Amino acid sequence: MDVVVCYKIVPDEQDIVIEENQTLSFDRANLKIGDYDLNAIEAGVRLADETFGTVTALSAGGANVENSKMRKSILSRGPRENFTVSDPALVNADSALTAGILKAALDKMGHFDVVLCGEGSADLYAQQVGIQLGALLGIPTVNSVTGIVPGKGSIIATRSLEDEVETLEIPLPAVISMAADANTPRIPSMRDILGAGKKPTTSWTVEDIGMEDLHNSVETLSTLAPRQHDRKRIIIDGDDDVKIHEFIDTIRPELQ
Amino acid sequence: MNLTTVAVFAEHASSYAGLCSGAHTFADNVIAPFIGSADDAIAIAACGARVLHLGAREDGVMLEDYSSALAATLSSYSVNLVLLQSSKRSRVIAGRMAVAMGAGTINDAASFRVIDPGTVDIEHRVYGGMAIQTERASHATIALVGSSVFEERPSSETGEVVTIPPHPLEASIKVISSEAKHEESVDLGAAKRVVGVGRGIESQENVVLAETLAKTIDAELACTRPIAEGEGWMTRSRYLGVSGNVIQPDVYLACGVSGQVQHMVGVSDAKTIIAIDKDRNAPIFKNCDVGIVGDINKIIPSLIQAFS
Repeated sequence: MDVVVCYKIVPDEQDIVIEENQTLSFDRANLKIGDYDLNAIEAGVRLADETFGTVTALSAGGANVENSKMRKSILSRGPRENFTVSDPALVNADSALTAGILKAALDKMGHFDVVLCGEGSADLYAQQVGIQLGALLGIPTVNSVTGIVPGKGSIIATRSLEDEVETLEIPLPAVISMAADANTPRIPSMRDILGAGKKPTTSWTVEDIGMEDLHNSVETLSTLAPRQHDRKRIIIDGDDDVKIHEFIDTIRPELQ
Repeated sequence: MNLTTVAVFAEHASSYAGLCSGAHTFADNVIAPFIGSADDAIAIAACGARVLHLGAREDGVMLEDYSSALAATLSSYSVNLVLLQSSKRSRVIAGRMAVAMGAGTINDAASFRVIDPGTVDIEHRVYGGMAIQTERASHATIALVGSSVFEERPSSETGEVVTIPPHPLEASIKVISSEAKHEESVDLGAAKRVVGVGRGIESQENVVLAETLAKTIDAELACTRPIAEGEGWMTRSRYLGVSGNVIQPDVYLACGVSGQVQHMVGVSDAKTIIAIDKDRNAPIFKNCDVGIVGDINKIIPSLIQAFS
């Protein structure tokens, strides 16, 4: 099977700093491939291995998608080739715009049997791009898939919902969003990382894929850290019996 | 000021009461497309909604396959906002409806402020809970809402049930089988008291100690991300903070939690934060109501004894 895996380059949330004015600073944040996308990549590589097929990676975003470290990171995980679409207007792209860009890129890339996406992006986590991509392509699409097995012109998928587990026969081509607990993504070896540098990447602009309208469907007014509540900060310094009793007496009203 | 018309949809009939109550707080008209039994349709109408009854779900057809029928049904109304009860299934329905209707989607909508009869500002969490994003929505934006966003209130308005003629369904995925899950599910979001453990807990034996404390004070047990993903001492479903759970208990009792912002965003809405840690310079002591600097191994057993 020919598999396309979609991924997003995001700032590492562990490095995000909250400024005095409640805005978020990404200045010191390292880039990474979205955590949930790693499950889609792993599932795609395994599916292609089982079916003697191919895996191609696809990402859309701002200049970060062309970062050479990220390119090596994606290609060291198994895909034979990497495609990117970048434009400054895509830095804050919403689900609908991202799905539209990916659709246009897939139309240009040519044949595929299955597109795999992660559960959601690691930054905005709207969990919509895979679904909307499938809907735009007019092909079957489903989310929360924990396992995929190749069938005859189909994928047999296990899908884990809140209180039930479904087994589905999904005719191909299809777009499938993998659940975060679908697998354990591999850690690339040094050999994988060195080999990644030799694999091809194709970088497109939005014009290359025939996209003109780069507007989001909803207008974002602000992105701010929530205000912290004022805390009493009664600190008892020490753990001898007297201090521990003082602590217990202080918290007792809260825990009765 | 109110929106003119809000549509509500949920996978289960029992979720409509909360959605209708919520929608009535900021909408003049509430319409409720519904797939299910006629009795349930009447019950939903009693919540003050105009129920658009698409009939009972057909055998072998996934609820998701009604997406375009739902979009087509709503196209006859000028809907300002669509509220969907959040679930994995409804996320598929939201996405497929959004494409069919040319509408935007907002995940995890937490609050709504009407700007004019066709425009509403919606807040939702992004960056794993670190930030609140405010979006301005119009043109039938589809918002997914969690079960705790709206309070269920008795309705003074009366609704009605309108039967919608069948639309062609788009079934392409075949359901081979479906089985009920038998897993322990933990709802930290609903817990009144939560005990959280961080790296300062030091050992897995001490996690058991914290668990005993949690049972003693009738609390749920939770942890920081490194405890779940680094040490693997607890499941992913129990970690608090960025990309994990965001909780709002009456009491959060942190044991060996240093208080990194990535963790604290998950507990910042707790009414009272109590902290135990041996490092007096840990950031949690700047962000708690009551704290004690000392040895977990001495303090937790004393708490268990005191509150048994």
